[in-house]
Amino acid sequence: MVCMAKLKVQNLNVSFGDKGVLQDITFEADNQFTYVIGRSGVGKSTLLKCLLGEVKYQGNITLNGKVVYIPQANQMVPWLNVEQNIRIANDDADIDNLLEMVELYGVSKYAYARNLSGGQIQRIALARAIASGADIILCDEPFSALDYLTREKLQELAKKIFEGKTVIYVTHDLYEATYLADLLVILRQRDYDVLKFSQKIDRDSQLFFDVISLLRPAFLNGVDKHNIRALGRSLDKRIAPSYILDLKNEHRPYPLVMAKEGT
Amino acid sequence: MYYKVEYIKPAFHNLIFEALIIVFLLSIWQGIYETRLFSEIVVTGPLKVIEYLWRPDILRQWNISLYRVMVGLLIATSIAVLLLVAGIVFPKIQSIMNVLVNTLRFIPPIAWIPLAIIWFGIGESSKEYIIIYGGFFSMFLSLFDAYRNLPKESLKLISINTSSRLKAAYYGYVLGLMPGFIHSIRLGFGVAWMSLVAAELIASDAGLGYMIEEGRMLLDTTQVVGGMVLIGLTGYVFDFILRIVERWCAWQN
Repeated sequence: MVCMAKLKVQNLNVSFGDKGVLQDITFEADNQFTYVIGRSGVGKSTLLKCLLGEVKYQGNITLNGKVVYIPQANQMVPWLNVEQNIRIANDDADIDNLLEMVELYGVSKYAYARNLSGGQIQRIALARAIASGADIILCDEPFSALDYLTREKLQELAKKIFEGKTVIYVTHDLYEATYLADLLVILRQRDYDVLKFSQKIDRDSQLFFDVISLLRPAFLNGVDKHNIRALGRSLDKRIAPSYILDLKNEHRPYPLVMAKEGT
Repeated sequence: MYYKVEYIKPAFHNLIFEALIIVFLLSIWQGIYETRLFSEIVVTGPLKVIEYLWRPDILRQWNISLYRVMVGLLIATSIAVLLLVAGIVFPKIQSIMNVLVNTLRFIPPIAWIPLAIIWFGIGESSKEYIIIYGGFFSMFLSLFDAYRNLPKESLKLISINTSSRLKAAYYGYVLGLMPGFIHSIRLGFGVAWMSLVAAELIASDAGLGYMIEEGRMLLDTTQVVGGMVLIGLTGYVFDFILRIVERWCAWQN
């Protein structure tokens, strides 16, 4: 029996004019919480638009299941109330239950966006995504306009309620991504990495900060491979073997290789 | 609902203030009349006008005019909405409609009266034509404006999330354009009401415009002013009602 991944991207190429934005990107996600991170302008949003079919691309994209999209802004239709905003995705949605799921208490079903805070609006977007019953959820930095603490809370909520679904979450928050991701796609100019985290570590521990400092250079091109290998080995000794798997170069004997090795 | 109360309240505040201003202006008018400096034909008094308007056959004239406007407005609304739907479904015809509308709307309804009489005679249809013509353009333009100002991200959000196009159209266009629709009815009523009086002034044997014209022929200034006051009052009352409906529809945004 052939097992089909929920979301599969093969040799994806996108260019605007003669400027290549995404080059030869391959990864697959199956019921995983996938973070796509990178600096501004490396094509994170473009990758999402490819998945939504809004941008012309070369290569293959396979989506097996219903897709829902949570945009960066305007997540609530201003002329529809809370209930209608959820109902657009599903006529039979149990509104009270959904609002409880996204921990939205004390908000009337008949309230409009102008009476709600940014965080409450995001929660309604999450409720709509659950109501739609989609298997694949595409998020384009939905919480980026919120303060740090609210964002942290909502990202953890999203992780909780989308458990078992394929989520592609675009952000530039390396800290949150490292903490919550099952799969981490790091985009750089003309390059990328796909990392898999095999277990969660406490976000207040020294270990976590070591991981962050390991991943930080991956944002840029000039990564010192040897340092990263050494740090990776020490990490693996401290937690578990293969804490981070490099899926892009998985044929390598040692799992943790951050930079793409020259020919 | 809580919000309803919050948003209608300021409208009533305005009403009291506006009523005070009107009473003040009326008393100045009555004062000028009481001085008897001018002849009865040139200046009539507000109390006389009010007394005149109390006559039962005035209601009949008013009824006839209002009926004409309502029929015309209904037809104008239907045409405007149909064209808007056509414009949404087939975006390519929008530019043609724009050219037509933007050329025709500068021809005032009064300029159409001679042609309307030649085409439709002096019966009801020529008056309806003038009313529909007057009401349609302001309605169509403001409806199209409301459509253009609908945030595209919200429409996209709806179309991505809904399964059927009919449902998307209901949530996106029907509910989204409701405040704009009420606003366009308000504008359309204003213009249609003015066009009606213009049409009735020229070829008519009933209605408020006819009342004014008859008053002029009989040199009865009270009747002329009475007709004018009734026209103004009716316009104001309808505008006031529609303004409340419009506010109630718009508070969600």
